Amino acid sequence: MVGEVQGCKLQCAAGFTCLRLSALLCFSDAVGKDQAGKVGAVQPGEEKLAWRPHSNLPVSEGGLQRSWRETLCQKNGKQELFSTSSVLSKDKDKSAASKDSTHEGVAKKQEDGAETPKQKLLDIIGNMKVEVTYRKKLQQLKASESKKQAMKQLEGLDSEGSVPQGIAEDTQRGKPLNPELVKAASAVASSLPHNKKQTVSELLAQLRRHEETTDKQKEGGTINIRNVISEMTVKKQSPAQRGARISGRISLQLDEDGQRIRRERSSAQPGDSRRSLKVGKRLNIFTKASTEPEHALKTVSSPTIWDLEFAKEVAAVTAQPPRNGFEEMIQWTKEGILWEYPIDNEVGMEDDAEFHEHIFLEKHLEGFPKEGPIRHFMELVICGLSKNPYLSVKQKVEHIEWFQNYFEEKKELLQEI
Amino acid sequence: MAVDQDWSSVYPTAAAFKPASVPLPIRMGYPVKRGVPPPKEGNLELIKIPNFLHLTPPAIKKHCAALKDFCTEWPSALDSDEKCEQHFPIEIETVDYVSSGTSIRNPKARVVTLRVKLSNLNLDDHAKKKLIKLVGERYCQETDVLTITTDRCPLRRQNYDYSMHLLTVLYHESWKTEKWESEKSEEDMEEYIWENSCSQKNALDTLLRIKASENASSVTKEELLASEVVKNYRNSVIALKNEGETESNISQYKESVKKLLNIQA
Repeated sequence: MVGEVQGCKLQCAAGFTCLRLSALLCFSDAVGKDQAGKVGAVQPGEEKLAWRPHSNLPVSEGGLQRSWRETLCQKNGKQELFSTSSVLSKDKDKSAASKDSTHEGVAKKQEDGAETPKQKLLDIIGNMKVEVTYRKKLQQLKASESKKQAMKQLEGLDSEGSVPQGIAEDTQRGKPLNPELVKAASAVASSLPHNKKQTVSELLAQLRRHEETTDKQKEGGTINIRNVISEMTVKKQSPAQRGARISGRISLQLDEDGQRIRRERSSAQPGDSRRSLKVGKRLNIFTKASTEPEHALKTVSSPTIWDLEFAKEVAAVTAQPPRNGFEEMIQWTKEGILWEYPIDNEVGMEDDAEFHEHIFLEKHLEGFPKEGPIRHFMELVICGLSKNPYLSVKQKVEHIEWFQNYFEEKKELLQEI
Repeated sequence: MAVDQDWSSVYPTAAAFKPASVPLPIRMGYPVKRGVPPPKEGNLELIKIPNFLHLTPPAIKKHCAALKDFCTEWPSALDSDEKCEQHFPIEIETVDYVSSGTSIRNPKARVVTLRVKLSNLNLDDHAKKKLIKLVGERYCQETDVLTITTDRCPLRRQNYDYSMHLLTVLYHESWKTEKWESEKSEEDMEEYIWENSCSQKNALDTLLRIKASENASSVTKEELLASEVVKNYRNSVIALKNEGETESNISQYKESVKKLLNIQA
């Protein structure tokens, strides 16, 4: 059941964050359980997933492990820890594989680590498509054993290349590298019309997956747990999630169990989606790389809707019925049933105009003739308007303009007369 | 109810009459024939009417004590009305209307009344007369109070600004002297001035003629004016005209005329 849940999660194709969530689930369920059995359950599904189109990212357990290590490596100031853990794990993993000097591998890694963002994007796109070439290459590679062994060693090198995440920090993996394998991979790639690096990375990605699954089966559960634990950094919980949880607890006292579960779920879901969207290192493709540090969860500065809802809920729960008439009056005033004292008859009546705009309206008479009956009439109109407290300034001006238009129209008639 | 119970907690706010809570033996209503007014239990008459059981003097004392924290003290320097008037000569009056209804609006609330004593304003004789002429009915002679009421604007603050503006304009305009003010005639005068009046002319003419008929010595007008009888006459006439007809004024006039015309009676 756990495996199925995990498989479902993986099939979402949401990216590394999704994987991390699934990893968390695995961790929570796997403590005390047989890790191998779980892995075995995933294995066939993983194989299927690997061949699915649009599965741009490694979605296996091995992929999980690798992604954990990478995300760990991304966090500043924690490289040493991860490198040791990864080195330990890798050492155990690779005991069977033949390994050569590590220095070359490190050098090569650093070279590849300096890929441009553009390259990273291309890698993503490359991973997304073309299962055909993938398969062909794989068959070719599997034919030669030496190449296969070397490629196992190269896995660590190009794992970052295929994985579109931060590589620069991951230079301390210490994985041994076989130059022959590199040459072989590059030869294969150059033989094909595709982008050389892309093909190389694809090959190595696939091989790495295989490698890691074998490693996992060999190792058992301890290493995975260690990885998971090391990955388990103290994450900042958004106030909304915290509030949702507290509200869940509060409601437990008052509501039935079903309601509480529903609330927790509903509170968990927005948190999940938020995490999955915003987590992940920026590729800096469209914008220049910003210097702001990455956070797992960015806390919102202003109170979110959930905070407000939580506050309202708390107030409603803690509100006591009024003990006396004064408290009742306070409550009514808050609700708007009772007017606010001292009474101001002009509450809410806004009129930004000053008194001179209401009373001194002569300036609007500029369009009219200076003398004559029209002027006289308009002066009377203005006098009346200035004494009218029920019209706004705008309405008064409109009145005058109406007269102006009217007299304009009648101008011809008047001139005849 | 216990005798020493705090009544202000039984009726903290306005509430209907509760016969069980009020320990008084009240009777209200029309008595049946050969009976007494009905008692308080279930007495609708007592429930219908508004009561002030929540405003007993001790309760009001408590209200005042609670409100005291929100109040500022009256300034100690203003301990008499004269001082208040001296420091704050202008009085502004506005009215807020309370009603039970759905709407809080009342169009009468926008009216602003400004009152000021002209003695507090710095006006000379001409300015005062001019200002009184300008304001017309708004000035009260007896109390020397100028009252300006404004309601031409929809909002109270606009009306207040307008009233202050009017006062300022009146003050400054009354100090100015226009060209056409020199054409002020006798009808425009506020008070009776004897100089250059027909009374003066008539009196002088009469006296001159008397003098001429009696003897030939010609006396000049100035001498006549300076003479005491004429002065007396002048004062009495002015008093009569300005202050109205009072007994003392009329008797004074009689004496002055007798002296003027040298009538012994």
